[in-house]
Amino acid sequence: MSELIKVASLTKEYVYKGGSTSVFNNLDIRVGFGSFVGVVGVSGCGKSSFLKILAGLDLGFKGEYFLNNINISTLTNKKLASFRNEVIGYIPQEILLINDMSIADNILLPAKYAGLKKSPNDYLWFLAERLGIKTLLHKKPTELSGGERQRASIARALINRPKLIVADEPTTSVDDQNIEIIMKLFREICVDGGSVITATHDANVSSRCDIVLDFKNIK
Amino acid sequence: MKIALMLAISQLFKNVKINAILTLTLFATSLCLMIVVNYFSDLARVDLYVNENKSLYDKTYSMIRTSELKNYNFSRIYSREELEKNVKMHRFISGNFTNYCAFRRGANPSDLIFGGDSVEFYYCNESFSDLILTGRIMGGRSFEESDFSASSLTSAVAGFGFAEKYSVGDVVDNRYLIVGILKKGANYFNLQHNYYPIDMDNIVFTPLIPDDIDNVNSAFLIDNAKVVLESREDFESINNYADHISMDRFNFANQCELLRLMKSDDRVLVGNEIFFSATMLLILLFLTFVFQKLKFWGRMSELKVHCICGSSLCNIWLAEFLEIAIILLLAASLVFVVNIRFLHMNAVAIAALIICLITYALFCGLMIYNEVAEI
Ligand SMILES: Nc1ncnc2c1ncn2[C@@H]1O[C@H](COP(=O)(O)OP(=O)(O)OP(=O)(O)O)[C@@H](O)[C@H]1O
Ligand SMILES: [Mg+2]
Repeated sequence: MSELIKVASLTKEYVYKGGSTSVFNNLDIRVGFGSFVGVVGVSGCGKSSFLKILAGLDLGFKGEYFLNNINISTLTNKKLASFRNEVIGYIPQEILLINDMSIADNILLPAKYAGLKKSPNDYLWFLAERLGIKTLLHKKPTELSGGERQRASIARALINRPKLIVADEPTTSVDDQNIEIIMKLFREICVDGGSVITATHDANVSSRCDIVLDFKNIK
Repeated sequence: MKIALMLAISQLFKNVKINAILTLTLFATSLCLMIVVNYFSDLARVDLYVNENKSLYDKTYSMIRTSELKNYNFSRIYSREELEKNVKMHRFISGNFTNYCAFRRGANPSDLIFGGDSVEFYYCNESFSDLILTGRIMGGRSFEESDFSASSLTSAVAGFGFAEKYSVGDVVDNRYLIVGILKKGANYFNLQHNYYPIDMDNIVFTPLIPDDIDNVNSAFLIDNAKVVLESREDFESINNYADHISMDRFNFANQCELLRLMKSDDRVLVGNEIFFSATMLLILLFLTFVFQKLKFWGRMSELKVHCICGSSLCNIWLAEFLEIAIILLLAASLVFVVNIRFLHMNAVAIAALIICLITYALFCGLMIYNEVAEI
């Protein structure tokens, strides 16, 4: 099995005025294509920090991170941005949507950044249908419930069919029925050869993963 | 780039109020700074000019009616009798001393047409032509004695602004014969009530013909007289003549002295102006700092979304900066419009404006750079 992610002696430390917090030291992790990985651990143990690095949003780490055999640290700003756009789909822990754009436009934003001539409306419809937000597409984010917004955020991460899904607690405000749907979607992505890495506090989610990284043990 | 521009414009409109305040503050500050710089560079010019012509200016006097010593009135209306006295006095001082004077022709508008355009006409006498015009001629000549007698064609010396349209020897409107063209940027100082240089580029000078003198606004004859006087006896002889025709006596204001007085009069005003500009500058920087932070906090999560969706940091940096650039552009255009319509500041002031705007852009750029690094 070839590797999508290879992380070698990854060390994260937040440095700020008058001190620093060491989050984790010397992580070595490999994730193959088609794996569904869960990341668990107590609050504050560094799950989000780890996922942000994986999503290419934080370059302030020591060690090496290869994604699809490319060393992330060597990429130019622009290359990294297009990597985030095409290869990675990131679902942040706090739900971030642009309030004065409709849900449909929010979801299609990565497609716009990809510079596609034709917006992938079929796939938008497909995702919206699966995630049960089809009737909400024309609404603004402020008119949605927390769970609905979270599902919109998931749809946005998937719209460009990225190879790697990095999900930071994607199911916190979602009911059991929808967790089921989301897990099924993620599983389909893995079957298609993509990989999903998700942080979670929910045993219901971690029990479905192929591998579970426990950050308590790692520390 | 396209995405950055779109982002910048959408951000600009999301913060219309803040951006409008910033634009106006920037506008006001640059205007204040420009006025100060304009003042100082005008002052430097007049100092230089007076020093270069010191031997002449040391002996040159303006004549101020004793009744007008305290409050000079630009729009004073003279009685017919007084106007005749003005003419007499003009003849007396021109006959006995060197009196060089030039003044704007204030006739009815139809008399101010030159080749179909409405232009500024100045009358000048022979001494003015010799002392001021002669040194500034680019082509042709200044006025000669023969130009000062009435004939069917009036001789004219035109500023450089007319050089493209006309050349020496041209007859304009069947009325004016161009005998000379002035050098580019020629100017002189009429140290009477201000010390702005009078730009000669767009002025047409025509001779003040003694026989025609009853037709000009004779108040100007004395108000704009610059008399070269050697001694106290000269003052006395003029005032004796004034007594003789029962006219107001005169005080004589030396040009160098006048400049010194005007400068000290301005000191408080300029001090206030500088203080005001400095305050404006501090307010501007403070507002920019606060507003930029506010804007940034407000849109932080939105910028994060753009980052996640595949915008590069450069793009966001550019978008933020473009927003500032648009503000700069707006403020600068406002300044230029105001300047062209009302102020006519000199090149040094415009250079100061450009330096001020560039510095401001750098200040904002640095701030934005630090902010974007936070995302
Ligand atoms: N920007 C930052 N600057 C300084 N310290 C930070 C920063 N972000 C996170 N931390 C610290 O790093 C540690 C790990 O944070 P992180 O968000 O990765 O935890 P987490 O495992 O995701 O927690 P949770 O389950 O609550 O989301 C925490 O102790 C936190 O205080
Ligand atoms: Mg977290």
